Amino acid sequence: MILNHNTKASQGASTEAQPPIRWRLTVTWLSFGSLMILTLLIAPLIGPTSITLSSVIDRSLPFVENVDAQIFFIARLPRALTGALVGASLAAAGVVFQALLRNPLATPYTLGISAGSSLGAMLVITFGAPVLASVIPALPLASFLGSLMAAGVVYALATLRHRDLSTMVLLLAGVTINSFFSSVIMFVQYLNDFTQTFQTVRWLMGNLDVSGYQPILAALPFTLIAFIGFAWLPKSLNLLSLGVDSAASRGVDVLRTQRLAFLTASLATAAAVSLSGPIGFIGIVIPHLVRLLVGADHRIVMPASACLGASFLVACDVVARTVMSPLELPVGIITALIGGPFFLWILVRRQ
Amino acid sequence: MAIVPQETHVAFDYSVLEIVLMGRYPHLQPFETEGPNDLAIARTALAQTGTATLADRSFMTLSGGEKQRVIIASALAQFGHSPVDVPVELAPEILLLDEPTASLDLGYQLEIGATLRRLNANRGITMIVSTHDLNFAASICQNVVLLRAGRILAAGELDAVLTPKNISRLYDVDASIDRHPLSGQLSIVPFRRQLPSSVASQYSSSKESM
Repeated sequence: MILNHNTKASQGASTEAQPPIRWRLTVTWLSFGSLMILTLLIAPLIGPTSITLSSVIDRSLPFVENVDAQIFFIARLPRALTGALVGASLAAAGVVFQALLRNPLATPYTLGISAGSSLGAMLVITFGAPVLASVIPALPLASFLGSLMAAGVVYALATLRHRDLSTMVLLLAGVTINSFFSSVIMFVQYLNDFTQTFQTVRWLMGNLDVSGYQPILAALPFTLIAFIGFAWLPKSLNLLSLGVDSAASRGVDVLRTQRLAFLTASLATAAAVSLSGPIGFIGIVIPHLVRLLVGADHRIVMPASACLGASFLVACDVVARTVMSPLELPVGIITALIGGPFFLWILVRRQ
Repeated sequence: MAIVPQETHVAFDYSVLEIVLMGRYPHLQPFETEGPNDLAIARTALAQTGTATLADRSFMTLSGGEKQRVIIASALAQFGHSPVDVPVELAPEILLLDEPTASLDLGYQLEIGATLRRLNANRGITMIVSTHDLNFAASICQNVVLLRAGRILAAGELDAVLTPKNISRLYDVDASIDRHPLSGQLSIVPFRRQLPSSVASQYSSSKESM
């Protein structure tokens, strides 16, 4: 474990020895942050047409004549930014859900959010939304609303009997909603014709081919709200990991923390899935990998996961775009092909 | 006031030092991280529970007794004050422990008992322990409160409260109480379960009287 335990602080009898958290936070932000920025700069340069960064930022050519710049800014950068937004959201939401459910095997989709968004998307694909489609893109909106509805139902179920948010009940409610929505989805799929089936299957694979910056800007406010909420969680999540009673005895408002965690993680996941469809494995693989690298302190795991999730998804998208060029594979295939074996390895390693 | 729950199941792989430092969180501002003062308090707490050598170990890999001592250290870390906090004499140190030895084997039970006695003697921490293990209570407590069905059966000094009569009222058992020659502590041995009176009457003619 490279950034884990600080043996420097345990050596020497200096009464002014710093606890390891501060330098670890600094190193984390610097290293994972630069990784993300580097990936965002390099990924749009890779593709069937090779372009160079120097010609992209060449100011001597007006934009309409600068082919490299046009490819960079119009065709490729939106895709990379979407990948970063979705990757960061899913990874951070994964960390929060794992802490909330106190289970490292939880994913952002465990509590039914992707089932809700899939249902919303499928309803639009199958039945269309002519009125809306001229004003707002109906598909992302429907999937976003579907996610929120699923999250709302799960939350209502979990708080039905008691005011507390029991993790056991939350989990059962999520599994129930997943299962129920899956059957409704199956029914809707039955009604599809060939074109609609094709569209559905493609959407479900998870894809980063956005049409310009508009979808990103539409999802951005929700993602920002979620991340602002995330900033308040790490210490409380650390304390909650030791048990609800211990946390309460140390000043954690357990119910409020659980609500905040559920709300922010659901919002981030809903925004991400409405942009790209349900991309799998980011929400479980990245937190695990990050914990292996930097330990379990949520103050470090959360920013590191967000940055690594962004970088990882953008990198997977580069692979998806180039491995069978000129075909562009859905990025969800690549994350599954990499994530699946990695996840198996984690399970084996835990024995 | 700090609590030590009966068992601590940690879902993620924290180190011992991280867990003890969590005891300092109540003293920190919302986005503040621990400082040198907090680290010093944490290290003192580790030393006082004999777990200083475990500081960089992963909590999940510890034995039951070690885990419990680390949790006690984490609770102790809550007590040390940052410079701007209230003076020590205005903030009494009270530790609540819930069945601290319930799931531990005999060696660890003795270990925890010794740790608690030492903390009480050296640091003057007031401890309130809930337990059903009378011998454990006899080994560390000065005062005892017996509770049954939500009511206080007896309360007072250890020797005065732990009598065969009170134990019989508390647990419906007959027990013998002696002072153990080697440990010098009260040793309580239950040897017979009392039958409920409706059943006892069927046997009263054939069994010896109590």
